[in-house]
Amino acid sequence: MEEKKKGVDLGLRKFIKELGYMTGGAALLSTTPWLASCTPEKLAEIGNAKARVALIGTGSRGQYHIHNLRNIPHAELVALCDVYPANLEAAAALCPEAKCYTDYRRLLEDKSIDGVIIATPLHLHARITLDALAAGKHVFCEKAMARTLDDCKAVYEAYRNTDRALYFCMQRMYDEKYVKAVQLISSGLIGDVVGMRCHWFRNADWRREVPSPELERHINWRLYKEYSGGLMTELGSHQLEVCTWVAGKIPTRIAGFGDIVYWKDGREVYDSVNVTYQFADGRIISYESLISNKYNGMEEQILGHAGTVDLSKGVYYLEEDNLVSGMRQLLEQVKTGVFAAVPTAGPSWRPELRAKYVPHPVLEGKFSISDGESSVGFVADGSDVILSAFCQSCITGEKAKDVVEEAYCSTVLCLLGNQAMEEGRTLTFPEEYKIPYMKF
Amino acid sequence: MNSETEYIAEGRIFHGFVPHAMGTKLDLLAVGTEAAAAEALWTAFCAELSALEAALNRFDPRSEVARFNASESKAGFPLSPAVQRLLDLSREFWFRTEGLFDVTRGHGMDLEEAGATLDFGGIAKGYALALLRDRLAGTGIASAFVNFGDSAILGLGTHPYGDCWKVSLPNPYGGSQVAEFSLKDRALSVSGNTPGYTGHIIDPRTGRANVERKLVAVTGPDPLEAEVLSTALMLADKGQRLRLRRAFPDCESEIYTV
Ligand SMILES: NC(=O)c1ccc[n+]([C@@H]2O[C@H](COP(=O)([O-])OP(=O)(O)OC[C@H]3O[C@@H](n4cnc5c(N)ncnc54)[C@H](O)[C@@H]3O)[C@@H](O)[C@H]2O)c1
Repeated sequence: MEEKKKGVDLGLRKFIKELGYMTGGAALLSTTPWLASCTPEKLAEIGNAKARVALIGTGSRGQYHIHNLRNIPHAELVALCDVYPANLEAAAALCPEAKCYTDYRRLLEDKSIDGVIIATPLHLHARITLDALAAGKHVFCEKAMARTLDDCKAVYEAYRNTDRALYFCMQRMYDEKYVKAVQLISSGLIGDVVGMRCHWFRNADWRREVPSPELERHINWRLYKEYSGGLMTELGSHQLEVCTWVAGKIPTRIAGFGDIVYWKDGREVYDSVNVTYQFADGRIISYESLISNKYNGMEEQILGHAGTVDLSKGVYYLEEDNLVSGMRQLLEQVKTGVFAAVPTAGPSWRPELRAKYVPHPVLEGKFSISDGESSVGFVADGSDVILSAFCQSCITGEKAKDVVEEAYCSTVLCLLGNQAMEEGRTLTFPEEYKIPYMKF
Repeated sequence: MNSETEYIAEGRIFHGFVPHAMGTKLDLLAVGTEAAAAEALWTAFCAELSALEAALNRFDPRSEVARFNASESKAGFPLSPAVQRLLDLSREFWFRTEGLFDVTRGHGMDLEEAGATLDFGGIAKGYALALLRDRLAGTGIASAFVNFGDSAILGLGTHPYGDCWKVSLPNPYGGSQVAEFSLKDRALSVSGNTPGYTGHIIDPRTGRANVERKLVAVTGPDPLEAEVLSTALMLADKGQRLRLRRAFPDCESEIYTV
């Protein structure tokens, strides 16, 4: 745990330190307007103020947030709430000074609490978010936004009518390598974006151990439709958000297939999904997730006519990579901490090897990359930064621009993907769920 | 001699590059070194390499070897200590390779024979690598990668993120890679033909160029031995190959038909 703590801390400080430089350009602010509310200058302005925050839902993700909160100097975790005693106790052990609740409504009555962090199963996100906003709290809720399209709409409307800050944990929006890569894409690095391919492959049943059978649905909520949108909301929401972020547009047509292919263990949600989203201009997002084969790992590929960015790995490839020699490759390796064979031996000197695709890192130095296998979270993946930004908002009251809108767009796309698979037909983006933020 | 250098402070890595030397290029990657020490070593080595090239380039009429080759009385020609040393080494290798490695272009090391000329092309790169290796050792640099024109490579110590230096050998005729080598305090020498450059290895016994689609790769602690053996194996018949491998017990070799 010690090491994890340190890693998070470093990532967070480094990001905030470099934010000033990163947000310097107008180009960047136009691709990441949400970073404007958490610049280093604004952080300095809050001085020693501390946000008094509470955590609702103290399961695995909630406890991960507790660790991140420890490294946020402007945050104080004052209350915890969970209905499942084992998780509440585990969280209380991490944070003994916090007051414990089993009913979140009682917690919301505490006027001294500035903001709440919601890390409950998906079906509760909307209700608790709405109640917390109504109670005057700033809210940080885990992704996805909500379990149903109507709940998403209700949350979005509530957000439009509140002066409270609202965040959904779309941490890629605050992950330095994503921020930089999207900036590179918008600066024309890979030419015209012609398509997107995202996938998330794991080989695990996604189950958690259940101490007693009546707790099955409570603990394995991800596997049941009442609480969860399955792979689309749990994994796809992050990746589709990245697509709408890059495209600045929303697809108009949605079709897909999904089924329970391998883990036929009584679960209700698909363990294999393949959804295609098409924009009005014809471009396609191809989305795929399967949890009985991990060969392909997790990737978010933005395909341009002049190159490809793999956002999750923080690297880009150019279609025409001016002949990269083995020695250049070796230099890249030693600079980026990679060890691999360099194709440089030969019987006599010949002109440079014709390049295969050579990865170029989007950031200098070392940065953290998730293999996508954890279902809790990854060190320095932006989750720490977005949480810090939220705590800052609890003090300043400043909303983060577009975070709710992005969460709304991606969640609606996930839910429409599920609907398309279930109904076996091509959907047209429904009028009633369009919001002014969306461009088609 | 033109050269470029670059120092990567994070990782303390020095990269030196000579774009043109002995008909090819040379890269040095030295790991775990101060910039100043590496620069000093590099400057000295470049001077040495430059002098060596000036002496050995038989196509440059002013070079020592060209003048020697043109001279009437070879016995009376005063060779510099460096060239004399190379000649002595070459004679040794001529014996060890049963005459397959021959810097006199088919004259059995007999410089008195009419038409005998010197060509150190098959040993000069290995010799330069050995000089650089000694300089690196003298400077206390234990990890380095040297690539002299792709065909003479030296891996000292380890890659900063690995347990050796890994090099692969692509097939010059296209297709998949032929082999991969893990070098740790070892040199690699590759001989053979490529589509664009065939027939540069001459059989001293027949005077004919070898044109087979064949590659020979030799690794060994000594870059000189590796280079000599890879050339000799290109020309050796079955029996000679066996004996050559015994005569160079520190080397490992492989012959590929590509
Ligand atoms: N952003 C990310 O990368 C990321 C990663 C993992 C999980 N998550 C999200 O975090 C949320 C929680 O996931 P998890 O893996 O921690 O699940 P979990 O089951 O481990 O934790 C959920 C907790 O909520 C509690 N809970 C249920 N009903 C409650 C109620 N009415 N009041 C208070 N607490 C209640 C449960 O008892 C449990 O302790 C989900 O929305 C999930 O999608 C996000």
